[in-house]
Amino acid sequence: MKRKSGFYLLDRIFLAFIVLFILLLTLFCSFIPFALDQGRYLLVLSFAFTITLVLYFAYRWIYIPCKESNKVLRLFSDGYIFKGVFDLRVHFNHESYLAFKKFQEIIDTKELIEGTKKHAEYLALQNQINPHFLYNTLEGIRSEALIEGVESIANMTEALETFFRYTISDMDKLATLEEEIANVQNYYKIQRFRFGDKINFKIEYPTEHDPEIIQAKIPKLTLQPIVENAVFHGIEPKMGKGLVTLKIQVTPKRLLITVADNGVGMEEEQVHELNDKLRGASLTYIKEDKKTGGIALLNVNNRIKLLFGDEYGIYLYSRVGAGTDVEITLPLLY
Amino acid sequence: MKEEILRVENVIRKINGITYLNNITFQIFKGEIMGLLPLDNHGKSQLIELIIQNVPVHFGRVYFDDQLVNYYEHSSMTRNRVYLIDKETNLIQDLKVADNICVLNHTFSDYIIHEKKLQRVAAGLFQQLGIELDTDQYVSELSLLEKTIVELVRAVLNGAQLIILNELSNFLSIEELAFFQRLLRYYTQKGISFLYIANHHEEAFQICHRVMLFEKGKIIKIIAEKDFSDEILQPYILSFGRHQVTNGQHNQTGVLKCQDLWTENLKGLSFSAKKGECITILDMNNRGIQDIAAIINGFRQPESGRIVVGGKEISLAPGRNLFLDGVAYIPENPVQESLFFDISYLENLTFMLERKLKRSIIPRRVLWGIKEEYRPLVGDEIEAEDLWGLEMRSLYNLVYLRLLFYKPKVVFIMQPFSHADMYLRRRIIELINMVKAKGIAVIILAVSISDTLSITDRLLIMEDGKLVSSGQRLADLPAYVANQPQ
Repeated sequence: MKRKSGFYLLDRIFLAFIVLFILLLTLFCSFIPFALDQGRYLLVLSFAFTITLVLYFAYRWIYIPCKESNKVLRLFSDGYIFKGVFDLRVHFNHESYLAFKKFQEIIDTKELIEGTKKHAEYLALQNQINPHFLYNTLEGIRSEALIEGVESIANMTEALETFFRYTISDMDKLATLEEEIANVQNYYKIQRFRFGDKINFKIEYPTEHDPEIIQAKIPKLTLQPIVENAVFHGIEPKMGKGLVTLKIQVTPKRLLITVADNGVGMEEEQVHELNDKLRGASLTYIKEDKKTGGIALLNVNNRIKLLFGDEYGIYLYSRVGAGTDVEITLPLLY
Repeated sequence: MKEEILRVENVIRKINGITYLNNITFQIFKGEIMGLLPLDNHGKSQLIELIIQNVPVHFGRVYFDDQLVNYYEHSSMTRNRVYLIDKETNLIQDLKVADNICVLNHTFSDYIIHEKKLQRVAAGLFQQLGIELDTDQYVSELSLLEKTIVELVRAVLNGAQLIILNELSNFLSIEELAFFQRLLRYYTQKGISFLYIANHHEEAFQICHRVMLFEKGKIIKIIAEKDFSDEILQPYILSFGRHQVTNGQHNQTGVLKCQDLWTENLKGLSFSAKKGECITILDMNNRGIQDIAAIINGFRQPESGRIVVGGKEISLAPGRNLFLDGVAYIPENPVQESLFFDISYLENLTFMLERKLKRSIIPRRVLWGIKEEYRPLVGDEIEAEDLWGLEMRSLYNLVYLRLLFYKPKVVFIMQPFSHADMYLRRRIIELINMVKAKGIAVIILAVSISDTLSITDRLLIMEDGKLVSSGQRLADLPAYVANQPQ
């Protein structure tokens, strides 16, 4: 087994640099009286100027980039960033640059999505949807059949079939916003059988509505898990009627989607904890107890960050009694 | 399609281990007025600083005009095209309006200054806004509204794409604010964006396209214009309630009588106040109350008129301190202007005790007695050797407890809620109620009545130095004035 040394390489370089600097300073200090005796003021001045210049240069060119790179690595290890670690402004050396490039290749988004861990995530997502969803829906069908025994059952079954066809089909591809919205509307239709007019759903497009917006590409199953979260954690525990609103905004580079509900809301601490988790991409949530909630949000957030980068993802606003707003930021892709 | 002028993304800003901005995310679109409602002041100035300058952040990214200008790895310290308009003007008082607008401007590159040309340019800018302002005037001669307008025009000419407006209602009267808001709407059509910081949602709802609530360094909610309502804010804000307005028929005799006061901006001001009564003088032009404050502080002598306190006419000679006649004054920023941070809490509390007791040396047992009397009210803070480590709430306690200690007959308070966050405002209301309960008459001098209605017994509206509806009942007020959080 290799023996780990107590000092890191960069620490050693800095140590050597400090020792050299102290030596240089001592030399300079001992040189001053001699040079002054000789009347060589210009020499002393130019020597002092050179030392200042070297120090400034070392500070701006070595110390600051080194500090910045260290900070990025620290943020990566603390879970703040994921892909950002590959975008260092200044690499430590050419070999470390190559190594980082290789790491990036290894955990390339596509591979990751196709990899076993990503499949596990998808399975987790699907497992989360299916049981509750299927049982509640079937219960709805059964109740409906008992009471009516007519057309509504056919409608509901059709909605269910459409929903599963969309959900369980090819997950790797991006879907259009139109398809995602249609899926959410279908989901809402199914939930209406269960909740009746307790839940309501509304879509708000931008004021200057560009018809092309609905052709924007987003990861498949981005919206439905969040709407489902709003229904089950926001509206269902609430007394009286609830409303889920899907707000869409577009900038030249981004697609901003907000899923807002006027449900029971969340405790401040929980919101803060979730937003902290949503800040970076992490797979640790899969190991956590499903009852802790917010898994669908984390899953969607992770997919967005892995696919498009750390600057996209989900942010949450919520307060008890005030409902919850989930803001999804995506790149605008056609 | 909306374009983002500013995007703040997951920003965490820590200074000396204290987290001032805690994972905040928001964006401001071009031509948008985004409101910022700080429920407390924690992190507010750090947020303003972050928007103006690309200062180091612990984490997150800042985009300005779609360019990444600041992020966790590298903060360039460069400034963004953002201008801050605050009560403290950035204009040079000893220069003319035209010079402030055209010369103190990074787009100005002429080597020779043609005064007439500058005045023409500046006048043209005001003309576009439909404002007649003499560009040959010195800034020091302008009113606060005029200075604010000049700053706005200067900011736009300077190429500012985002203008931060910090608590305008603290220094602009209701009418001035309404006028200024019309200018903001004009500039939004030109694509200029604004971050409108206000302490009251009614003010922000009047003008903003969206409003974000800010608490403990976090954005806790962003509300779109169509959702603006008092109900949506209920889970977030404290309810101050409205004070039950009495008929003003106190049994006590009037403790203060101001009779026919005339100055440059006061046109025969007369009113009286009774023991324990709270009167708010709402100045629609923001001039008369400044003169009242100047008279009380002995900076100005009225041309005519008299003030009677407790049945005795007091001298209004310049330089005279009315405190000894039973008239106290609390300035707009009492913590900065009336407390001494390097001396102890007790010394601050008993600052003028020797004059009150007419003794040059205060016996220790008297001080000990005072300390023990106030300990139940302020706790161990009474032992503080200086004021540096104390919270704002404690400092305000000290300001108002001093009143309870000296028991003046009447106290004039200039804009008591200025710069105070929601929690502090509630404490100030409690403190003023304590002052009233001691039988001290309270005269609030204000340009906006937000929150004062929670404590006011009578509201006097002053316009052009005259009381236009003396003793007017709150119910009779125009809706825009009486609009008050419940």
